[in-house]
Amino acid sequence: MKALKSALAKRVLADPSATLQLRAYLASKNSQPSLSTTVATDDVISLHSAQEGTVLYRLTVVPKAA
Amino acid sequence: MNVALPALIVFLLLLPGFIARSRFKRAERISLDYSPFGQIVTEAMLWNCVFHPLWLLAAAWLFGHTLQPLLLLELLSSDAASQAKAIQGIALQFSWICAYFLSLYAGAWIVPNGFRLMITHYRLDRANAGWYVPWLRFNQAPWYYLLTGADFDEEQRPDLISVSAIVNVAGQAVLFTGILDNFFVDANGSLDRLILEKVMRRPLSADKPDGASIAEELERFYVVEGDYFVLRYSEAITLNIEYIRMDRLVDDDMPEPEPAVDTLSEADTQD
Repeated sequence: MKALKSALAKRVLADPSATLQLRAYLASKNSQPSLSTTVATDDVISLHSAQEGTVLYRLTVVPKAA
Repeated sequence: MNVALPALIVFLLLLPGFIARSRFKRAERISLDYSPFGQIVTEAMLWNCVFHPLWLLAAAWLFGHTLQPLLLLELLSSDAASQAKAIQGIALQFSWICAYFLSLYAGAWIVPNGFRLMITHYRLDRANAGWYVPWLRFNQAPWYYLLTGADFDEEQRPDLISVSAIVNVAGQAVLFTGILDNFFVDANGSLDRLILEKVMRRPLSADKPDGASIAEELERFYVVEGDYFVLRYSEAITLNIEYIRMDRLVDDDMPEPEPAVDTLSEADTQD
């Protein structure tokens, strides 16, 4: 069964540069040693397209729905 | 050959309810339905109570054919003479009766499928959709709700799911992390395997040292080459799921995350 993946996510995953930024975000998020020493890592990625140019997106982890 | 005609008639009469029930439910197991027998029969009978009256009304209104209860009761009776008489009556209207049951079985397959598609499309089964959720929610599909985002409101819906799993590789715990693309359940409804993309790995022991920079953090990860990474659920020691949302920034003064990308690219080449 297909997992959740929006059209924007597909565009990001299809863009090598944006994918690298996403990987960097995931890597830094997985590296936070503890809540008390959480480092403010860069959670912004840029996605370039011919129509919109370069657009910045902020990545956030959202809690599961009720 | 002796045929238990009453039993066959009852089976033909009840079959639409079981068809409708099986098509309406979204169950992740396919080999066995572990629902209590009473629940199965009750649901099937409720579907029968919907379909048979609808089809009888349609037959009477559109074609002028009405139910003949006497004929039905004679068919179900154990008296051979009554059965023979009823069979003759059935034979006279055989084409109409065949059309009734065939269209009923087709309807019992199509209509619940349509309802299910409508519920899924309009997301009427998400947890906080309304008072009707207990009736519309597919309770035998927990992985569906967890991994497809079906429980989220449209405006709060994340864009993708990040999965991190610890896998024992040659006696060493390795953390794999990537973006979930697809998932499969086995015949019993258990999660069988996850299909990930953009996967990275690192030994679990290579935790972040105190005071490490972002560049040092990223150097510990190695990119797993390939389009898709198949992770068997049975081989994952732990599984972490995160819903990630991407919000477009209106301010253009946010810094570009170029240094992190460069560092990860270097780690990729070292793999």
